[in-house]
Amino acid sequence: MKSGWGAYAAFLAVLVALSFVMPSAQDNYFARIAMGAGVAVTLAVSLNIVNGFTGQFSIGHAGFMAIGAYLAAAWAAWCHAHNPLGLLDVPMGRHLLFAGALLMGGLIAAAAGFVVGLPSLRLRGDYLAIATLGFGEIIRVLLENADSLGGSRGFSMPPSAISADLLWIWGIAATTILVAARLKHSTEGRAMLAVREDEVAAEAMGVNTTKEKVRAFVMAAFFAGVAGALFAHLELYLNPKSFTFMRSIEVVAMVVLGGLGSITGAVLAAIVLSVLPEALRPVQNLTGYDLRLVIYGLLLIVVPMKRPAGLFGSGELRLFKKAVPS
Amino acid sequence: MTEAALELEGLTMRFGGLTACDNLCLTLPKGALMGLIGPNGAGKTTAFNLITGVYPPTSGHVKLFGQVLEGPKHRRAAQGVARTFQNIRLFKDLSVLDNVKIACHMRAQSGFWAALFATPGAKTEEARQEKRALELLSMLGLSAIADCAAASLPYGAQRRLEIARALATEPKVLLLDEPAAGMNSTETGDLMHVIRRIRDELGLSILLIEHDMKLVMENCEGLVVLDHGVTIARGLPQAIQRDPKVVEAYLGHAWAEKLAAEQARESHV
Repeated sequence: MKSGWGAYAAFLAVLVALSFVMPSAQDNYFARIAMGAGVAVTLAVSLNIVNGFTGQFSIGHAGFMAIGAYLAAAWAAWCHAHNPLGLLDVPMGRHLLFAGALLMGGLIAAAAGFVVGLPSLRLRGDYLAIATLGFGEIIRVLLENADSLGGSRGFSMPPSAISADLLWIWGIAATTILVAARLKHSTEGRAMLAVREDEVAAEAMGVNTTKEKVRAFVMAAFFAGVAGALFAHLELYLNPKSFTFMRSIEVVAMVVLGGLGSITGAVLAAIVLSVLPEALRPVQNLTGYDLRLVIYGLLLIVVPMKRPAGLFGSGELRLFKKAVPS
Repeated sequence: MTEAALELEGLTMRFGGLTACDNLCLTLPKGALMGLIGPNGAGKTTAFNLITGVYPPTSGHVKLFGQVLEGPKHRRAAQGVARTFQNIRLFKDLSVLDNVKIACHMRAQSGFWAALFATPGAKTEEARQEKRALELLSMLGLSAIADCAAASLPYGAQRRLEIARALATEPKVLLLDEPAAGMNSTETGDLMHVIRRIRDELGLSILLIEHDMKLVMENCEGLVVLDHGVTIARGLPQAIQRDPKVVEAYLGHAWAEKLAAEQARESHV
């Protein structure tokens, strides 16, 4: 049984090395795409804990992301105005404040996940989907009407807020993957899978299904909140329109395409679906039409037709399996 | 008299106008193997569902070693009642081994945070579950297929896996809902051998629902017969076989009369 620390540490070391070797990578076109993909990976891997592990169909992930994003924005604005402990004047201090934003964004989103999860997880299937959809929309509408956060005009991050870089974004993505993988291969994670497979049998075998569902919901919300905070520091401008129903659907598409329950699948599908619109730009230049979304849509039709269980079913790549406790 | 493992006291369940289980009383002594029989729709599975907390009973209660069993299903499992399902309910997409490991979960000695930080405690727990699960699989002859998906197993093996999974919860009382359904006579014979063995080795008390009368008559030490929710007979298998009420429930009034006439003739001779 391996803990996965090795692979995790190696990945982080590469990221750190990269940020020293290419400090200007931040402004690079490809780095921007990679960072967007990193946020998507965090979102997809976290949603997979709910939709893939416990089999509950949540389509309100953008709501939790929005909570994390706006909390990070409000925090950055507050820090800009008050400069707590003079931290804004030291480079490390800014990173510290950013780390605080990530943590708080995650925790508040997790708290929202708990509040939403406890009543709505009594619902099943389609009804749960509608309830989570409703939650996501409520958050968006609240934000559109919150003048102190810019309302529908949006909210610009203060100049003192740092830009999220590759190290931060992929470091968080790797952490999310590590946590999800350890969970999946632990007794706790198997209890979640049991909820997905057969709730009646799970209960009869002593699994507290309500607890497992709420726990999955809270964990997913936490990482969605963190991803939201990353997103805020990546874009440096927030608008409630970034957190519509479509954003939630995008994440659901990644999870389903990758294979419900498969972490490897969620990671790959998140990367492919967020890189694809950019990668297809040459096609647009060639044909003169913007066919990118057509191809994107076709992918969403063809993959489920050819592989109904998603790219990876609920399994993992060998490489991944070895890196985590099993 | 031996200690009672499971006591059902006046257990009644009404679904609207239908009384699925009417004032059911049953005492399962510690270490016993008893049968609950009756024609289809007699309320046998309803009784199991009442014991395991799937429905709250309209009235009456269940005691496990003198303690009233109540609360949600998972807590009853923790108190020591495990069951198998008539319509097999395995975790289909998971491996045979994982099916059994899941039932070890509630007795786990390390929790969520330990798993996330991959602590030594979490590793010990993982090893403990693996060892326990493999022991149970070998007991039920499933070791060779531990890594197969549960859904890919033949029917008989699925039924045995249900038993292995139930045993992994470390129960005191085991409820088997038609464990031999769909098995041929050789398989049934092997199964009963295993059931008696686990009863003796693990010190379990077993209540069994079964339609295979040969199995029931040869193995059960006591029987309770239900029909339309009502207890129509109880006692030793030999007596039950010749009970006119039981014969009537299974075979109809004509057969019951025939039997009664036969018995009258025999007593004349």
